[in-house]
Amino acid sequence: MQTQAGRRGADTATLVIGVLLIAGAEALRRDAAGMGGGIATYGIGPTAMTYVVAIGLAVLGAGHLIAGFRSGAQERETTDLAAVAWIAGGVAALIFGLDRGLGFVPGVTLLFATTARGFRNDPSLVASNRMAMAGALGFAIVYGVPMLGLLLPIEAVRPLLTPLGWLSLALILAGLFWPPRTFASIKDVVIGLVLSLLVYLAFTKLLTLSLPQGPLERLL
Amino acid sequence: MDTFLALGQGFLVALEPMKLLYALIGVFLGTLVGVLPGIGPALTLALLLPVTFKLDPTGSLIMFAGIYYGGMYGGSTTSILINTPGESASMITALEGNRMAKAGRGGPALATAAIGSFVAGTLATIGLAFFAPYLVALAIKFGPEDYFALMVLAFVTVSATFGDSPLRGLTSLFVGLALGLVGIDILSGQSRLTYGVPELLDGVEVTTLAVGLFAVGEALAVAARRHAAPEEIEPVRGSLWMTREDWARSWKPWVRGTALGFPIGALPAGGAEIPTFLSYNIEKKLSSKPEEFGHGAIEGVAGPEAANNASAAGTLMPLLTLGLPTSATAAILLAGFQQYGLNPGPLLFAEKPDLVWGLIASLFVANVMLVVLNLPLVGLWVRLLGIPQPWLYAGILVFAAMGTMAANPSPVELMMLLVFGLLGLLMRRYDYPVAPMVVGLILGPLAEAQLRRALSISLGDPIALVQSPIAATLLAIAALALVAPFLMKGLDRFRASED
Repeated sequence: MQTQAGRRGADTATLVIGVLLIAGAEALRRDAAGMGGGIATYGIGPTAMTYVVAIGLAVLGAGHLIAGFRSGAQERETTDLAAVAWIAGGVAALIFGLDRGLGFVPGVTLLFATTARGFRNDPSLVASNRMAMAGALGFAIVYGVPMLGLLLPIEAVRPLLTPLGWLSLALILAGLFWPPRTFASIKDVVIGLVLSLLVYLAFTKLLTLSLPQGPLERLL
Repeated sequence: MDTFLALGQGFLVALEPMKLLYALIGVFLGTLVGVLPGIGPALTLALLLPVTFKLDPTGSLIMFAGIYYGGMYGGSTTSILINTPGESASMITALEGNRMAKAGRGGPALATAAIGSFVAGTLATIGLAFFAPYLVALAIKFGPEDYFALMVLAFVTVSATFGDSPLRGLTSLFVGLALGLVGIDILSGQSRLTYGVPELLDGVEVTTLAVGLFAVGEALAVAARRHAAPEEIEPVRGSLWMTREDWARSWKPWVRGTALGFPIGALPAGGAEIPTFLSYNIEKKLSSKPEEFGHGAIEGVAGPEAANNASAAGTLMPLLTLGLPTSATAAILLAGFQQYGLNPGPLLFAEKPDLVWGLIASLFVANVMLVVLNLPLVGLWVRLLGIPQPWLYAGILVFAAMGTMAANPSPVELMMLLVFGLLGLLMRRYDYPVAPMVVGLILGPLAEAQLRRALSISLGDPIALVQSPIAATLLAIAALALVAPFLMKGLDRFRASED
């Protein structure tokens, strides 16, 4: 990609990536430091490689910072965040569904329908797009908060996460069938259902692989 | 002579009826998935890996070889008919082939790509069978420090030397290396970067990363780029067959493309882009009708397509003899080996000759099957291209999720798939190459193991890393390859200011 003659200011995205890389390097350093030494082998222990990668990431992060300031602000094409929310929300809903024992076929059917909806997205469908984005955000909290548990005391909010997951799932489902796309989504669901049933049967019966089971799968 | 005996043994394995069936299923599925727009051979392999889980190692690897070659054929069909190359190595095919299809010469374009791939694949596989034993003989002399140096060289060439930006390539590589650290350290039993999550003790799966980056990431990126107009499918009009003139204009580019592709693919440099671009430029210079280039010249399909396939066979050389993957596709093939606890390298040739030579022989078989099957089936593949984009990507996501669950039925694995998918979206938007990350993930732990072995043999003396002449040379080349893009950029700037 040709770097356009930089406009005034700095390229925020490159700077953010640089900061993230340095943060990653620090996380690696902490992990290695936390392991402690004590394993007296000849040569180098399990922490050495971590330090090497950490130094590499830190240097690259610094490189990003320099590049970000030197290149100037860059124009980038816009991202359809609602489309991303539909697809990522669908995957998150699948994870949540499997966690709750809803099984493979319903979860994957929903993923099929939300992905198709994301690809047909139209910014004029404000209401349903907002539902999908709220649902995706809800799932991001449901699964993001436990990860923060390493840094923050989050025990107080933990009981709220499962209800929030159900609410997010409901939001995505409601958005999916919100008019005027009700009929198109029903069609997607039917196709997704047929596909996921075929896939399920082929992989469990023909190839004898195990896939997550729910009430529906146990009937097959 | 031994080579021919060994290869003959391999054919005895590959021609068993069940193995033939596996190869047939492999080429069929590989083409079926590879023909879908936006899906390259690496993703085809990653998506279809679960299909081979329950087979025996030889059968599974034979099916894998079929999937690999099938995916490559499928990719060229897509490039010609709808101009959406699934990987950068088919960009050239898309350039000329799609013009030919638009001019009503889609049939001959597909034919020259298919027959050229067959010629190149066959010649390059002969090259592989012939040269591999020599490389194995050399590789046996390699000490751990030499392997380490070789891997460092592969890291540099894959990420820095041939990409657009060394900074972005190296960043991708180092994130991959960091992911490779996750899990239990094999030598000491200590866990690294697992943060108390038991699912992370086994480390990050290469297939989860590849499927996340390539399938989920690609789907997110395409959906996010709302205004992109859907590509037109060019119907195949007129005869499928090549005229006498087409043949006369095709056969030399096939041979030249193979001669470029195989050696470049076999070097630990990675990527089939360079031989395809070189082949295109050479054919343009040598053509009797250079004015046709850019408007659908058959040489511009025949040469690069042959170079692409020959370099695919070429990358198998370092993979099989040294255990060194130099592309995302090779990294996933290596993951396919590792699921059976097989480590490609000189030892594998000695311990499992049936498997290695059976695999090489089945490459010939797969090639023959593809050329026989695919031209008649072109109508079926064209119909696949007509699937509306929303359903196509929805189906790809279903398969991505399914494959991940079949490999490891745990929500954590799906979570990683989603995180890698979002990472893939960001990398596409900000122009970071994804292949170095996949190579870094799988090769990082191997390089670390070799480094630690070398240093424990030398009782911790780092001089040992450069005492071997092989290691010293390889490291010097790596250093040069790391600096070269910066020097060349300096030269470019110099030239630009002159103009």
